[in-house]
Amino acid sequence: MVDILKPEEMFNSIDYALPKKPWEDVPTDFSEGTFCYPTKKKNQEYLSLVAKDEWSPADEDWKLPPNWQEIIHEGFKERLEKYRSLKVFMDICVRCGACADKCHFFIGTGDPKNMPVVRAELLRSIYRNDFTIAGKILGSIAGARKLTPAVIKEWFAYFYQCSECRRCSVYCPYGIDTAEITMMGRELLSLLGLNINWILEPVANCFRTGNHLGIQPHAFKEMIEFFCDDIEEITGVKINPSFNRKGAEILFVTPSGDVFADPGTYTMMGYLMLFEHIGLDYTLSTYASEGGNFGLFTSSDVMKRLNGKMYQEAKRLGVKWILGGECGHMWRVINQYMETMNGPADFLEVPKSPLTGTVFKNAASTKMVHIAEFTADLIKHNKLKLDPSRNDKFKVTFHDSCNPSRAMGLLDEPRYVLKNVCNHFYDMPENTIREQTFCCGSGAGLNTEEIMDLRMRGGLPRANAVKHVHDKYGVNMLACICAIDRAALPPLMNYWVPEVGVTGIHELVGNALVMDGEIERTIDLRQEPLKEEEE
Amino acid sequence: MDLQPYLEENRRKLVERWIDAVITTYPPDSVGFFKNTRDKFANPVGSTIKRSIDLLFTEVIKEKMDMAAVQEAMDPIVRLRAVQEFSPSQALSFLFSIKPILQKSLEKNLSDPAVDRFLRDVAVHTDELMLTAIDIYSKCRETVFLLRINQAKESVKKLLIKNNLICEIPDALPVHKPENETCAPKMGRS
Repeated sequence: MVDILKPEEMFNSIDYALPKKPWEDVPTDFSEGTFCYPTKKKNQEYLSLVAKDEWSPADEDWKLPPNWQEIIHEGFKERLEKYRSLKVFMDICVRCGACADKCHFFIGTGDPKNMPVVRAELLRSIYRNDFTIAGKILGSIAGARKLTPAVIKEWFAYFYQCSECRRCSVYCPYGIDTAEITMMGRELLSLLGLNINWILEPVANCFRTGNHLGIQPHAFKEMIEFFCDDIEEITGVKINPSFNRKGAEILFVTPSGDVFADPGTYTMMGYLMLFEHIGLDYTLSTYASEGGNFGLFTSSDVMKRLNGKMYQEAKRLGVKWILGGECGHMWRVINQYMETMNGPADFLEVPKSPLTGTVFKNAASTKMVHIAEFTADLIKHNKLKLDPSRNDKFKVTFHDSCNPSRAMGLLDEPRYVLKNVCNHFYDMPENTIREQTFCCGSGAGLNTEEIMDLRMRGGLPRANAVKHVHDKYGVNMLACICAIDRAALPPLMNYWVPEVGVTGIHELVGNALVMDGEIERTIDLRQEPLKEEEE
Repeated sequence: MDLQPYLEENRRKLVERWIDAVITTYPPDSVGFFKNTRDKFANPVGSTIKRSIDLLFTEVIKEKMDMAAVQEAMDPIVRLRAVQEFSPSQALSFLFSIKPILQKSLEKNLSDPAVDRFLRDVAVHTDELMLTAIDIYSKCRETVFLLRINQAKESVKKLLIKNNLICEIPDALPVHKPENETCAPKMGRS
């Protein structure tokens, strides 16, 4: 929206005050509540990463290894040679400022170092100093600066204050992907053993046990069976999913958040009901029991390992293709990195819906289909009997989760599903949805409780748009297709718009789905009355 | 001096000064963005501040403030500043800014009894605003801490219950009579 200011207004609005200090000289705040807790050494050791003794970002001396500057310089050099994109992103920015006010962390905090351009500049200034002639000769005049411990601290603070949502890159005329800059920054920090626990513990657990929380196979199976009992109580239909079954047509992989954390668990119930209803030949794996890939937030090597695990299991079980649950960043890894990391999954078949015959050509290389696409296709071909009135107590809006929207263009399918399973759907304002969607404020491993304040201000632009549809249309349910969203949005709503709940879209599908042989439904998947009057 | 026409005529200017006083508490690089970006979805911080201050101004210059309206106007701006990087006093000090703004604006008429009374009222109102703000601020901080506690508590609770690792008292206890009366606890010596 462009506002034409009158000349007088324009002159009055010019602020001639210079910042008191250049951004490089503003020290980073490390008071409690501003930083994520560092990881435990055992997690680094388990993953064969650089292990660091116990430390705290609040410490004055971070006890970096003696040759830390050399480690960073060599690490940077290696990555510049390996990734052409990084080299281009370091050189190409013209500092036009198009990205500056697009980051939810900048919008919510007003901290200039949260402008994507400045976040990138944290790395770029060292790049200029170490790798460009102009920087070496002209120093700060050419925007270069020396690598000091204060720079490392700044990196830690601000690369863990970016949720890699890529909203800024939508506006960049050069397409600079700040998420990749953050990823490189985090990789370099990892070389010094500077990792955060909320990321590395799930990674280590996932690598060892198969999922973020370290749920063991028998417990994973029992959790699913409990959901089946709940479903039987609600619908009268008994569901018998299979586990680790060789020869199944499809392997279903979803974030483990759907198995152990509300409200994701209701979404899990929705998947199970849908698969039972359409008679899908699928199996769940207790080994690939995690769709999420926190390797994306750690380093490309770790990302590769976790991605490979899922496909290894598909190969072992001999399935034809993989169906993926409502997850966010897993899809960025699959759509944008997997092919160059682990190569195309040639041992699988191009996914074809056994019910509609639709061939998912978009997944010809990855062999993995997002469940929102799969379900939208079922609805389009009239394969589901739906009673949207069962969701009538909900006035629903949809939060485009960053990665499915910006990394794979999944914009219309979830909306199509929602409009078929509920009668009251209202989109949020145009500049807050679809490609321009605002992050939940807790992505990329920032969903940890010690930085709750930061998450609240980072999530403000999203919450503000939800509040708008709540005030205008009475929206009381925020749907999303990402497990991190399902964990991050409830506290965000609780703080800013407490009247709004959070759901996955397949929870609403589960409510609306008219299953063969079901009893009359009086309660929804949360075991609450279907209609408000009955409460 | 007839104050009402004066305040109405100068309202926009006075409100803007108060808004500036709030916005300049943010880093200088961000002031322009918060002040000039008018789309409320692109700039929720700036638009929240502008809206709240505008409504608070209406109340503070009244003879008697409508405390329900104050509460409604105050909540968004305090809720916002309670999670931003301010100390509690920094977060709320903007409320006092209205006093010097009005004083300066009326400095030529300070000897006028009507102006004097008006400024005294404003001072009292500002104190009331601050008390309201403190209540809201404290509630917001409590909410943040509760959210932190809940996340830590709830993250694995369901898993523990489902796997029978913990067994909570059910919501409705099954009713049954003790089979053997001797099971009842005895008081004192038998």
